[in-house]
Amino acid sequence: MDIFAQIVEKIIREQEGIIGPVALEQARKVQGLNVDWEKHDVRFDGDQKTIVERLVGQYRELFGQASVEVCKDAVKDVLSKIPQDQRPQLLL
Amino acid sequence: MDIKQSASTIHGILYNLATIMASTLRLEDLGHRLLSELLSAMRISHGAIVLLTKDSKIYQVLHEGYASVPEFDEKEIAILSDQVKILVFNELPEGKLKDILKKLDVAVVVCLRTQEENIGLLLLGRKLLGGLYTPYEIQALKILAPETAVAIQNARSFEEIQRFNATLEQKVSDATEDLRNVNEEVYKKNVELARLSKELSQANDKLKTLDKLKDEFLSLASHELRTPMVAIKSYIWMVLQGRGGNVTEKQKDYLNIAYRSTNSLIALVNDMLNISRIESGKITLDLKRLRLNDLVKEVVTEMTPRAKEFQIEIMETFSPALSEIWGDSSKIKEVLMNLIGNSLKFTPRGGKVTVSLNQKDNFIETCVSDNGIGIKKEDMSKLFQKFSMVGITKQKEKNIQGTGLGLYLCKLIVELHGGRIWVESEGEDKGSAFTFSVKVASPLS
Repeated sequence: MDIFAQIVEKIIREQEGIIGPVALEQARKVQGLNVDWEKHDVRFDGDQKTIVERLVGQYRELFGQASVEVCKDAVKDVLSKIPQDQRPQLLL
Repeated sequence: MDIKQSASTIHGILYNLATIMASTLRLEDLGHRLLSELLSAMRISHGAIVLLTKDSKIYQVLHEGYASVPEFDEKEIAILSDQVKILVFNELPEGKLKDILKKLDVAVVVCLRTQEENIGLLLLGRKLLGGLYTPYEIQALKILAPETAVAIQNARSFEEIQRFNATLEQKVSDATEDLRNVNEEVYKKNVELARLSKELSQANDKLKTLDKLKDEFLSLASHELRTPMVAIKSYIWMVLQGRGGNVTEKQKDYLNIAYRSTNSLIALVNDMLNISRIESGKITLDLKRLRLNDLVKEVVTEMTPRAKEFQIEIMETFSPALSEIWGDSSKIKEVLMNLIGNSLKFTPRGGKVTVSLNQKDNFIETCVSDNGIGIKKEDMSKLFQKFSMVGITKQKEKNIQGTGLGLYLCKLIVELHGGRIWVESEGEDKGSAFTFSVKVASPLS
């Protein structure tokens, strides 16, 4: 699985543990992000970095900075595998 | 200026003013533009529009050509607003009205009325060149007055709607902000809950592992304990039988105590082993069709010598036409022995223990009742718990021994059969009744 798809999955999974099905509902509202949760399929329509930032921003808009911290925590292991300049700003 | 020219000029003024009224929605813009147009077209030094509330209080003043912000007396304005006709200073007789106009430095006063209400006043100053207002100009002001009133009212309504919209927007924005704050708080609490839940789940896993280890240890220890204890019991019995030589009465007493204690210990170990096997799911029931009345008869017969020893009457009552049950006879027998044994322990000499069987719908209910020491209401819920020793004081008084596992084991066995067990008692010294129900076997099974 693509590294950005992994990031998206980890973020949604972590958010799901906290806010339940709303996590997936919100992810599906993110422009350029297509998630088939049952099939573990995450697809991007556009720049992956930007779309991940949109996803984190979507949670921040509703639940504030605490939700961003949760996202950061969820992806801290995977994030190190991406070059510095490719890392989504909101997750740093 | 001839009549024809004046009429044309007035027509032009009215046209311009009508255009302003049709094209301006903001009240302040409307007032200033109307005043500017009037002052410029009619060459007037200054003018003001005094807007009034429904109870004739000054609500807003729009002015043009004044050196400083004009101040109006509310009472005087109220007097002026009561006048229906246009007031022209030069045409007024001496008196209060003329004095007010003089004080206000106003040459013409026009009331701005709609059909429903008085909107305010249009106050116009003197002509710049010192002349008088022409009849055409006064006529134009008359025509203008109701239209201006309507235009002002529209502008006011527009502003009210705008204000209402702004308030509404603010309220929606505030509510959204509140909601966001609440969301954030709930989210933070959820994060904490998720963390605690994770910790709890980990702790639970640890406990499960520990519980499994404990069960395994208990099972192993019980098994290892039983073998030497049976040997101890056998040798004590042999000594008591005189197989090892003569035993004095005193020695017999001591050995009897040791023999009874070994028996209790073996019973405890057996109970622990059984419980451990049931709890770990290692036990399998040997299910067969059973006639509970046969089993009850058998157990009552076995227990009768012990009942006689305690001078307690034991009897069974049941209808011979009871259905069969589907059960493991050795396990059901264990339950019956436990319940009858308890009744014998807790019933005084001369008492009575009855075992009855009843069929209720698809269940056979077996009830062991006595007229013994009874059970306090608050103790009932503890009865079927592991190591529960209810009424321990009375037990000590009567030198009754028990492991606190018997009823728990009964409960496990009955539940393994898909039945249930319960107790009823009217209270202390009022006897008790222990009942367990087991489902009848279907005719085809």
